[in-house]
Amino acid sequence: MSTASLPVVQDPPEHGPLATLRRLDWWLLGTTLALLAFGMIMILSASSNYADHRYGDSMHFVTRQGMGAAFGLTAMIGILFCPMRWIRRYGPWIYLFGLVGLVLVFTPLGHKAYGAVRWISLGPIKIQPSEFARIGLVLTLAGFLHRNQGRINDVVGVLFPVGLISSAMIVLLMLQPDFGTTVLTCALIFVMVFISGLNWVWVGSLGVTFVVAAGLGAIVAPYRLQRVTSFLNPFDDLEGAGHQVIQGWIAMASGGLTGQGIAGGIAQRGNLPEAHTDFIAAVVGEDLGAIGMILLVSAFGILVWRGYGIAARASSLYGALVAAALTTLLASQAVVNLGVLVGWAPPKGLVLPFLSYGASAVVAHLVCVGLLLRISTELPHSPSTERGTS
Amino acid sequence: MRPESPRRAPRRGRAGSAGGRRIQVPSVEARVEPPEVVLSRARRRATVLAVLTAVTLGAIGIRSAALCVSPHDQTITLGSTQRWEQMVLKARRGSILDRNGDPLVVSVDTPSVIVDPELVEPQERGQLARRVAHILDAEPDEIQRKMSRSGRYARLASRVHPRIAAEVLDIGHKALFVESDQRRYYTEGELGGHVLGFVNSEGEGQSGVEAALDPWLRGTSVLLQRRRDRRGLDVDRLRDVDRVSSAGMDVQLTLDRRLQHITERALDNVMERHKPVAATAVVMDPRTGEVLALANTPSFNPNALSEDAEARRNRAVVDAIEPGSVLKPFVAAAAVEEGKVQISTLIDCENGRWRVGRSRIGDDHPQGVITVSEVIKYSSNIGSAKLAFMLGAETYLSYMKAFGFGEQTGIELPAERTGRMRAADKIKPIELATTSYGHGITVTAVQLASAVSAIANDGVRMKPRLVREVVDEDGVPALVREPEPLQRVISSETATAITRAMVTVTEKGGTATRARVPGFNVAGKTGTAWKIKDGKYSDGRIGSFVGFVPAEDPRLAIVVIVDEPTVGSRYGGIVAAPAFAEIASQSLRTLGVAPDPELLPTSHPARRAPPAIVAAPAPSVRKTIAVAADERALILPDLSGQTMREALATLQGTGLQLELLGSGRVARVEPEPGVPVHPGTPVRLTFN
Repeated sequence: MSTASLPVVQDPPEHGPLATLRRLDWWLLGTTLALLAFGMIMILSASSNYADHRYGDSMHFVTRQGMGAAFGLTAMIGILFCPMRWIRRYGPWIYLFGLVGLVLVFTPLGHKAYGAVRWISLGPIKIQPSEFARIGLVLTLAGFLHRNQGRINDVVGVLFPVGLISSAMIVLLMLQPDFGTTVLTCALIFVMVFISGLNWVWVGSLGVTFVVAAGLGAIVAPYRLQRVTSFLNPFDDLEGAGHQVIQGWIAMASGGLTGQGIAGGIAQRGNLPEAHTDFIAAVVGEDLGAIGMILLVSAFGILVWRGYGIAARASSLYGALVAAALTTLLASQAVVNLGVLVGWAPPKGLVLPFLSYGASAVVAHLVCVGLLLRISTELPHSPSTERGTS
Repeated sequence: MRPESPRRAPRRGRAGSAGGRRIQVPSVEARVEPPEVVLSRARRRATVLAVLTAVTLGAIGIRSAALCVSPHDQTITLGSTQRWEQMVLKARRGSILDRNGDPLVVSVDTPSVIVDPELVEPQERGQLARRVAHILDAEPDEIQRKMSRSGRYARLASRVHPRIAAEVLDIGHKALFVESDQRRYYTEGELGGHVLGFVNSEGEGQSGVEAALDPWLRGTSVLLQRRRDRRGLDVDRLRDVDRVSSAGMDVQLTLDRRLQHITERALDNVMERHKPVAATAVVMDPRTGEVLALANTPSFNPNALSEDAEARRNRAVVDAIEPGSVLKPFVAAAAVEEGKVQISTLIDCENGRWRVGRSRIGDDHPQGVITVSEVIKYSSNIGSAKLAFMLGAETYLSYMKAFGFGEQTGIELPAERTGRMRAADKIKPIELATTSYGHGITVTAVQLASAVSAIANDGVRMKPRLVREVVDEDGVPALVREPEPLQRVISSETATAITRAMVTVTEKGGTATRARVPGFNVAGKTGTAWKIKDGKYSDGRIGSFVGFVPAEDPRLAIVVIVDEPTVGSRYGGIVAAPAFAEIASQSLRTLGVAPDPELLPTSHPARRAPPAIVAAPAPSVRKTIAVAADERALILPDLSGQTMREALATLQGTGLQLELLGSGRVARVEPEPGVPVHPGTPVRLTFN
């Protein structure tokens, strides 16, 4: 395995910004920037009509997203030059701030939309604290699991504290309520304990528990099951949840192989709800067709492959955990968002990273990429700080 | 895995150790795995996640591409109904005008007010419904209910006034729109119904001029397909579509609305007096072939179509009848033209009985030896038959063809009959004999009008026509029909001679003295044919009169056919001739044709002239206005017993100042009937 190369590396330690840039994962950065730029174009295509109609300014959403992206890129570059040990030290603080933010949504500062309080309103800026709290949670858990590495299957000493640390965020998310983010956060926690070496009995029993619980739920309250599974055939639910999915399908069908051209689609002219946020991929389908869809999914494929690749080459458990978890964060958003569109997942209101409109999300996702890039600069072939800490 | 641990004893499998560890849970210190093991496992598991996620993304990619290139049928159906709007931009159908430009048929805009309920926000519904209801004068609750319906289309009101539709649009709400539709409006109801015809619900001409000139009237409709977004705004811009859909053209007929009125009223009078099955009249300008009036009773109102198909039949062109004696002038014309006889040549009419082969023909009024002119005057069948024999079948029938019998006249009306004429090489002598006085041959009223017009027009037959011109919406003529001479049938001299003979028909001793029009010489010929029913001659008769006036300078050729009169006489001279006189006298006055003063009966007011001057000796009802001997004065007719409507119809256009007292039927007229009155004179009608 890759660990074999570890002792062989004899390069002199390199330091300074130039060295950092040289070791950067340019594929990851390039794909991210490409998705970000593409996202701006698609938001313009998807929202200009609505924005003009609603705000009298067709650039309304694009300018806001642009400010978010500028802020996020600044953050990303800043993180690029932070050694991992700083990050490891201050990670829990990020989590703490995130939790405070999650509490603040229930105060008068909170902003309610779509039947849930997910935002803090600070003047013209709305922040979705859960986006940042998740990153904080990842860093905190990674630190804890790193310190306790080798003892992951210790229920009381490790797993219970992991649950305790996470529960604060989970509870606050359920209170919003934000079921989609809750599920994805649970997935992150699972990925982290899995990477840490959770034994297969635990993994298996978690799976069995999930299936049994779902089965029990289906027996006790069949209508719930139906509500969850109705997404499998959206045509049966045209007036309800299926409506949005079908509108997405109509848009994609209109796109065909090569699409109607950027801004050539008409789904975004009112037929497709959430065209510039959750269903932006449908707009990509109508504007750019099957080819556009495949390119889009491929871009996420590159992102995910590079991200897990960083995890698979990390020199410490901390690095592997952070890289795998943050990659999972991005990947799960993309998979669930696109899964909803193709009818394989129930609509949950999750954004597509870098494409969907949403400043908090774009900042958070760029921070994720920044962290991944930082880890990529500290990979084993360059003996750096990370190696020494373990 | 690499179970090489520097700190702890080697262990076997993780599963085993986990199971063992679970029993002694709290003991922490003993079971810490070495970092190398932990890290390599972490790396492996990250790879597993990478593969799983990549596979999932790959599946999603394939699925999303499939949704783009091969969507479900249902997706396609829903998408197209939602996004594509189909609409037919119907061209505005052209108007039909009479010869003076008076509209007879117009297309009226009948907009419907439509709402797209999806574009009405629930909170504005109440207020919007009240505004719309106020404009439409409807119940706000009803309007609000329609605005709350599901779907994208609800009709709030149909056939509203264009001004109301405009007011609704002025609200400026995106959910409200107006669908334009058209309705055909026949301005004078029944007037000219058979000529004008009617349209079906799609606005396509079904009969009459509406059908015959449908391609001109229809214009070009355009089917529009355009994409529409949810707010109903057009995605695809329309490129001057309004200009693409060119409006239908206006058709100007040769018909004169006033003469049509006169003709229809005359036929109504015939219906009332003689209760026939039907009556038909055609008025033609012999100089041009233009049809000035064409009417049948029973008639129908194209504005409110009934199921009575009989009433809708335009008998003047779709019925070919055996005309009877009205054909006699044409055989005489042919014989004179061919030089077989002169108009004064004597013919032996065999005292009313003559053998042709094994058959016998007879005259109603037996005559001895009389002139050709008198054959026409007294309507001798035997005389006509002899003229036909002199000509021979071939020559005779070729003249009939030249007069226009046996083929379509080409008038702009659908389903015109040719009529039937026996072939020259197959006709038997008796058949030739009967054909000469109008049996064994069928003709239409329009053919008769055209044929008699040839005699009236100095022997030249003009092409009969009903359409003057067709103009597009900018008034540029697209089709102009000039008078078109077809052929000279007979010489001018022959025409004059036959005309003179035909005038004698209406003179004292002729068969149609009731066809006389004061102030004018009338040329004409009566007919009384045996009516064929179910292929056999029946008891019924068809009385007819064919003539023109003034005889010297004909302006009107008129055909009147009365089908099976049941009350009073059945002879054409009695049932059809008065209608001819009524049509002729009123039409000539309407057209401003000056009467010949020498032909007016001398009348002195002091001597108490007869209540009205009607040339015909007699029917007691004299309803028509007559022109007094001195210029510009009118003689009041006897209106007593008429209803208010009839009386007003009679006095229409006289310019008299009418004062109406009471209601019911006319009891008294002041001044007395028969007194000449000038336009502007006050006339008081008392009804009881």
